[in-house]
Amino acid sequence: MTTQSTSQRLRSFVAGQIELSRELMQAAQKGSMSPYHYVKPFILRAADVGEPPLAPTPHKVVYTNGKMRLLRFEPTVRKHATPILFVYSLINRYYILDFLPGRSLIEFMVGQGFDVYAIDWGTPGSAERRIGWDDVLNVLIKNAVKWALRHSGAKDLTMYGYCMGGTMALAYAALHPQGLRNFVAQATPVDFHEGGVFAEWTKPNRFDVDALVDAYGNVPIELMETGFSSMAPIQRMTKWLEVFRRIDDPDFVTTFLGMEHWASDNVQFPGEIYRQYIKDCYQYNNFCKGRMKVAGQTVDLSTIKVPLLNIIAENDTIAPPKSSEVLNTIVSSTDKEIMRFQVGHIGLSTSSKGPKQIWPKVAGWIAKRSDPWTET
Amino acid sequence: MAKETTNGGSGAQPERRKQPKLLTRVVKGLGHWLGPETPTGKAFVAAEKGMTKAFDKLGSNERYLNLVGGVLNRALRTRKAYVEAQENWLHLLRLPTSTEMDDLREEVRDVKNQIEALSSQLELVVEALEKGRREGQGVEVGRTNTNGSATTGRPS
Repeated sequence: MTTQSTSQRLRSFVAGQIELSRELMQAAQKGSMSPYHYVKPFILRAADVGEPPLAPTPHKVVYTNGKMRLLRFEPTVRKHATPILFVYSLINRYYILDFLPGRSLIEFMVGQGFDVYAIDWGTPGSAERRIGWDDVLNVLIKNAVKWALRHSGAKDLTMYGYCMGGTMALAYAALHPQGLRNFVAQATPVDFHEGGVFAEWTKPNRFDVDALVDAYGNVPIELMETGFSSMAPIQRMTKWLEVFRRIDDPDFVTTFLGMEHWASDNVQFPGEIYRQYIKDCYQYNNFCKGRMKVAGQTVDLSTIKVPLLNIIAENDTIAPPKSSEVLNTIVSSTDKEIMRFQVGHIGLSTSSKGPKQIWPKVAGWIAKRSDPWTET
Repeated sequence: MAKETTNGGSGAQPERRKQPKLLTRVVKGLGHWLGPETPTGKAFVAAEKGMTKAFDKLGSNERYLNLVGGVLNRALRTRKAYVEAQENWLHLLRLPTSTEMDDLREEVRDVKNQIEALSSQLELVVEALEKGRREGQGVEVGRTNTNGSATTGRPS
């Protein structure tokens, strides 16, 4: 009996070691730079937890165009006729908005009775090299708005842009005001010359974006990862010590791993969009100054007249408050508000303050400006 | 759609919590050893702060940024020249180049968008025809109902 159980344990130990080595080899073969891929297998085993249940809210795909998908998150009890369309950034993946059960902005909004839609840009590849702002604004977002309105049966919607998605959504709102009822900008950089370290790094004399795009087509994942890790190279490693210390707290470990999974899930940045983004936003600040042109049309933020909510994270280093708050002075909306929260850039969508302090206020603001749902 | 959460309690958990695995103990021990409450941890935190400060200083140093930028730009331009030479070579061999493939992809995307725009227009036409047909039917029903029925005959 004892011999059998010892041999079973030994067999299970060896199998575990083989599996662990296999996972580490796979990460090394992929050339992953993020420590997540190398430390995660140990953490999962040490904490006895499973993979973090990311993107938990049930959804349907209602429209696709290339890699882009429009997702619908339908509420069980709909209270508002005006739907919400989330426009996420092209950096990383959309599911940070639908993070973990109980910590998901999308799940929260669905629970408040909103018919929610979100654009998932997918994982751009070589087919997306030539996609430009024209395609994103005048084809992809435009069609997303059209299909969201069609599916929800509404005549207008609340556009909710996050980070660079906010910048793109603002450009869209300036060019196509029809169909928009409200606009929510969350951690959205507008004045890029107040854009913190990124503005410093991408100065025209330091960064030849043309050479990058001409050489690679899309911006390679490795370059994106290097950029992010250069922002806080030491903390990138030492933050893992906190999870080591709290290894017997499954909730903490799951949230931490979920966050790291998302942060390491980098995707290529479509080259032509990046070229114009760096030039018109970071290098020459044309977006903020009303000089950016998309398909011959000038993106003038002062033409935005819909009610505007600007959500700012006070500890944001990616879209610093100074870079975002200027938006309210540019737009022509008479109904506009800034909400500030003591969190970081990602904390607006993932912190424990979200469902308790941040999202109820945001949902309240949107609900007040949405039509009530009446069953026909 | 929702994935199953595997964290949290299984039947074996309380047993395991009493006697954590070796790996768990090692990981926790390492965290504790470098935690802010131990002398080693205090030294580590001080070192971390110092290094962070140094990196921050370096990251905002104009000369350093210009130097790194210069190196990066040179590398990118070299790669660009290599890609151009490769394309010229492929062109000589009458093989499709990456730029030509991109051109082709762009054309395909344009065609797809054109088809989508056409199908949207077609939907509108079908809707208009459908509306017209229903209106026609409504008028028919209205005509029939003038012979005694209570229905108004107004199209829905």
